[in-house]
Amino acid sequence: MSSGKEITNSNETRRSFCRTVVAAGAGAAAVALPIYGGARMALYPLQQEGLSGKEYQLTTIDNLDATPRSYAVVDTIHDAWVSAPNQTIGNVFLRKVTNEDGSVGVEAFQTVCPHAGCRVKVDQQKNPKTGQVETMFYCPCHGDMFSLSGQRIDPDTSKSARDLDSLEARVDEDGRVFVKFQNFQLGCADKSPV
Amino acid sequence: MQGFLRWLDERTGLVTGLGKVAHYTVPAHWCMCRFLPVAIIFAFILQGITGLFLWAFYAPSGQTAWESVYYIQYQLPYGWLVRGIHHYSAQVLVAMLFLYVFLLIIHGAYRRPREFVYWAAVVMFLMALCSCLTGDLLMWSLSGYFATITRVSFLQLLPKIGLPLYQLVVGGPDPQFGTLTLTRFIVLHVAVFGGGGFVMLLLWKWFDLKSRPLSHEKDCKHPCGLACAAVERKSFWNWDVLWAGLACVVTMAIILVLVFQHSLTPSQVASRDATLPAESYLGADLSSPADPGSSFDAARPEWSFRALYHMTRLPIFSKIGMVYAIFGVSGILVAFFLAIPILARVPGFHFLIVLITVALFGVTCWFTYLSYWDDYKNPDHAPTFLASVAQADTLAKRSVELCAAPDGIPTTGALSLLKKDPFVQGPKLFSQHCASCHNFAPFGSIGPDADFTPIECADPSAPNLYKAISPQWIGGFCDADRLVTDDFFGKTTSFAKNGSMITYLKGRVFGGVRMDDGSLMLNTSDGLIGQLIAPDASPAFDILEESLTELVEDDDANEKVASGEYLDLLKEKIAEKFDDPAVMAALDPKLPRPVADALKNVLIGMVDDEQYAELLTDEDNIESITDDDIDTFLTDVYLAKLCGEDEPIPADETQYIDQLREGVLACVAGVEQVLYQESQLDAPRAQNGDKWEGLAETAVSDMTFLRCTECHSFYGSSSDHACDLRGYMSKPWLVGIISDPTAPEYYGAKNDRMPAYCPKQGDRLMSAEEVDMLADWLHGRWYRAPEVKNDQLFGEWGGKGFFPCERQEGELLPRPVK
Repeated sequence: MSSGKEITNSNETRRSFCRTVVAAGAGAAAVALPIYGGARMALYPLQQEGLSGKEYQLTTIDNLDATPRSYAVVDTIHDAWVSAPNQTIGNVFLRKVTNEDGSVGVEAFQTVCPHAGCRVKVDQQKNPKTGQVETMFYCPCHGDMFSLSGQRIDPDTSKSARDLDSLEARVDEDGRVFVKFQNFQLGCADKSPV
Repeated sequence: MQGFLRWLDERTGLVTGLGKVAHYTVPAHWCMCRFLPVAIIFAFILQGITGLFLWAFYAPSGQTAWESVYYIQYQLPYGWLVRGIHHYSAQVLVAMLFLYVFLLIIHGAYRRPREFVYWAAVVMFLMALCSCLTGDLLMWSLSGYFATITRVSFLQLLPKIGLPLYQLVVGGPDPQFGTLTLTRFIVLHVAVFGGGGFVMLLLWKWFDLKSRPLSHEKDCKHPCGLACAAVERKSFWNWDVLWAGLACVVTMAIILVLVFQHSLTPSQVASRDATLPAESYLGADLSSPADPGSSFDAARPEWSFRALYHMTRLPIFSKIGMVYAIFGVSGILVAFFLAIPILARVPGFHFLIVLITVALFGVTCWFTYLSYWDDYKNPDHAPTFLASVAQADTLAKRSVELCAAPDGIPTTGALSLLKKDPFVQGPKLFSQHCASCHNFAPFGSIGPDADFTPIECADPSAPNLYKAISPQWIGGFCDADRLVTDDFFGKTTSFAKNGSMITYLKGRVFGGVRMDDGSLMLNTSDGLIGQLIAPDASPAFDILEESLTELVEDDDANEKVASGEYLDLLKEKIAEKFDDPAVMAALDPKLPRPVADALKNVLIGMVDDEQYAELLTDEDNIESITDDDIDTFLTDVYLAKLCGEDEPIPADETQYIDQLREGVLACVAGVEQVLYQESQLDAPRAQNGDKWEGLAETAVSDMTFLRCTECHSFYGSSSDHACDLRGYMSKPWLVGIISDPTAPEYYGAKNDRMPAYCPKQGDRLMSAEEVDMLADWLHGRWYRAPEVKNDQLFGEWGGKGFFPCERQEGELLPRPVK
């Protein structure tokens, strides 16, 4: 063959194609290693585990009343390569409740709105159902309203697909309040830990 | 379909373009040089891919740059691989670009119409070099930092614009590099030189394609496709594409060999340091975090700059000025190479240019060789360089150990871990503050220890503190001959050769003067041994007196006088007394057990000894003597004879004194053991009633017996004549004495020359934290990394990194001293 002359022989065309494929394969194999390594590097966040639901002592029962208050959960943060002790890893609403048998208990809620992750606050807002101004959990981003026991005030119009995320909490004999702190997946009706 | 393709092609030219690519032809003759550009493009693609992934994890700031690279290397899965490929493909790229430009010149391929191909290649080569220069700093490691600061500082040599230019590059008026230097270096590295290099690559290929059809030079004889387009051409998509693919594979193989260069053979894997993870031996090196406050003697440029580096060290340039070496020579070189296509228009110049290029290449190789030879083989320079490299290796290893410790890296960065580490800071502090008087090197029975690098003092005038908390150092502390050597207190003025402790140890513990003929003049007035057997008022006197008195009153014994058997009874009585705790407790001072045993054996031995037995049996018939007689007998005759009767004891009769001396020495050894236990205390002993936790019961009474407490404070007795022996040489004690040796519990007013390094009031030569680290270091107390599993090539393959894996908690304990 010479320059400019079309390759007409079909056998030759096929061989040429095969060689091109082999060459492309060799090149791809050579590039594959750094791409694979890089992808594993980049996907590392998916391998890491989140909060395991560790229990924290936040306060004592004497400090609580029926109105929820926000308490900081403090732990060592492992942020990439940094280990920083005594950092706030999240906040929890705590309120004192009286159980049916008359004993004193505690209710704990995440401060993160299950709808889109804004921080819920305790606020005076007009209840659309009763028309009364009430103390409730109110999300300033999209106006979600939750009663002080965490239920959506109007599930039909609420943006959030589920109630405010409650957390496991207990009070020990000495009145210390312990909460199992977790974060949950946002936006869905099911409360599943992340 | 046809319609869509036409529509696409009219707007983008993609289809036509692809068609051109499909009909891409190359010269019909085969030449290996043709695949060099392919490999260059491949290496460039590798740079882009790996660089992008690294960029996603890199954090440019003084406290995070090294840490993020550490995170990539040690914690991210395959981070070491990506980083290793990035590093070594850059080196390969520089080498290949150099070779390419060199071949262009040799083949005359810079000539028309390929001038722009050549220029683009030269600029690409320069950009690759600049990428290496800027990339080196990004690790923010000790070597990268000091190598780069030297290079960038050369900017200041430039007249007028030098300083402002330097400040612009560094990012501030501060001569030190910092976060702003990193933020602009990442931009230079990624966007300016990386991106610029990519643009040049495209231009280069474009010029290459453009110039090709014009290069039908009839006289082109060179077979290489780089030089000229031959008349005969063939399709690229046949054998050539296969060779191109192979070129990529070969390039990758070379890079991988470089990535695995420290783990290629099983013996390399087997000889890994047990506390370092596998990642330390894979990919590119990472030295310790940059420390602007330190120095690094072995900071050297990469291999590609070694020739230039060597040139700056030539004596000629120190005479006419570095600015000529750096900017003059490299400026002329760059100008020359850029001007080559124009110069070559003069007939015959091509040959001259080739000659100059080959000569320059030769000089470059020679200088590179000389530079490495000077560092590694030159007997004058190599030891310093290699020592500095070894030191940096130790520091790099330590950095990894500390970062992998359970506490991890604090927000203040990894450097702060090194700054708080006794292992790293101890030797520095000792050199700065202690080594002008104290030696720190193995001596006598104290052998070398891999954990403690000796720090020599040229003219020591204070104790050698090498392993000063070892039993070997403290053991023999009451040996006066040892104490007066220069390795101990021989040169301290207050202690001196005739200081009170030496005279005490020599005179009183032994308690006598050895005469020239070997006879011994016993000191019974204040010698320890003399007082044990002093004719009047000694434990020996008390016990013998009581035993004899009991014997006199014993009828049974009296009956046996004639037969002499009562001597056996006397021995029994003596033994009884020594074994009776009540009797022993009543003695003042209380006898340490080894001393009591020695005295018992001496007294019993004397009863058996003929010359003393005669004294007992001959003139003083036991029936006739009274209590008074016993006193007189013991004082004037029996014990007086033992003590030599104010005359030297003949050399062949000192066996009882020697026996007693053995007992006293055993007691001394016990006290030295007590002192060693004190040196191992972490905190002062807790007091429980009148007992001290963990303190041996006889410790205080033994010390009192040896009269240590006459000058030294110890538990329950206090004296300010000499230093407090509570916790002697323990960490709190060391902290105290380094802080202020003039405090009453240490040397007080008798302190020789030792400065107060951290007194409560007044100037401080060291911070409290530094004193603490120094004491920890002298004690061998620092974090010791546990062993890790690294005997497999990749460690935990798939690399969760070793950090979250099986690494157990390390210990922060005083090492067991051997």
